[in-house]
Amino acid sequence: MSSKKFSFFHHYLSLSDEDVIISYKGPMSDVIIHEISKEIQAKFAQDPKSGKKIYSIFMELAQNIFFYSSESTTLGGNTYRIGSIVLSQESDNYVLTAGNIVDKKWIPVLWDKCEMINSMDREALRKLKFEQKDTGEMSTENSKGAGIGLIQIALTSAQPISIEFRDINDNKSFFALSVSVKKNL
Amino acid sequence: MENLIIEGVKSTYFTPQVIFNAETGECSITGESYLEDTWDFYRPILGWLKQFAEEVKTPVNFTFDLTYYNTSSSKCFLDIVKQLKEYQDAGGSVVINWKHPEDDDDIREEAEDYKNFLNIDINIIPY
Repeated sequence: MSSKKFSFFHHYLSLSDEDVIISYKGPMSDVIIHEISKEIQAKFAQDPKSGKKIYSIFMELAQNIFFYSSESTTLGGNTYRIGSIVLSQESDNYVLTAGNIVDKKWIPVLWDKCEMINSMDREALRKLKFEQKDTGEMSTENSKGAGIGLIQIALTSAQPISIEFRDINDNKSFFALSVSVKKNL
Repeated sequence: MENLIIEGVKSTYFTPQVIFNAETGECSITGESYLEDTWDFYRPILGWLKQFAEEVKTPVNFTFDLTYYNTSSSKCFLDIVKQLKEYQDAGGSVVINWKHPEDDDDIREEAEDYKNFLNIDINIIPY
């Protein structure tokens, strides 16, 4: 097996392929979420309508990691869930990508949910969001709005969601979700 | 019945300002809503409205005036609107206003959906 040492050089090179605006990987604490959200607000002051969508989507993605990532670290007695969020830009779009480790049991659930969301038009998505809020229960596992969060992300971006899974071991997979927001809305 | 007043705070989390006046029936939730424990925050708010509908029974003029909220907060807004509809269906007088920044279609659509799917009147007011 090759050295376990993390190659910062490869990490740097792979991020350099994209036009990166913000990139974070690590414990997703509430303070980090707040600081990145402030940075987004500041950076998009000249493109406020797109900027607000990016802000809202970032908050949902960050909260998904905060509540549901199955990888965590303990620092100073507090446990933080780990994940990554990258905001980059292409010619016409901003792209938000979030990644974290999930238990494999969630793969079919997430996969079906995204397929369903991508197959629906806006009216149907709005109806689905309403129905899930109307019947959903609060404060049980995976009901802090995660399912509704994905629908809201699709509605806010108004573009398809793309997802990717990579097996880590028998029980865990890496899950990445990517969504675009048009520039200068 | 006592008024319910919660000051808005913007720090790591965002607490909206809540002013519920039991004498006038003027109620408002203003600002941004993103909380450490959403349900903990909104439970007493729903409790206040329930008590108002049972004990005070005078007209309610309820205003949502939010510039940002996360999806867990919006779940609680729906619970509030449903509670107001219940009061209306029981004979209470209810006016609901939903203010939104003019360029924010996502916040406007939220109110349109409550209006259409719950079949309740909401004044949607862009500013």
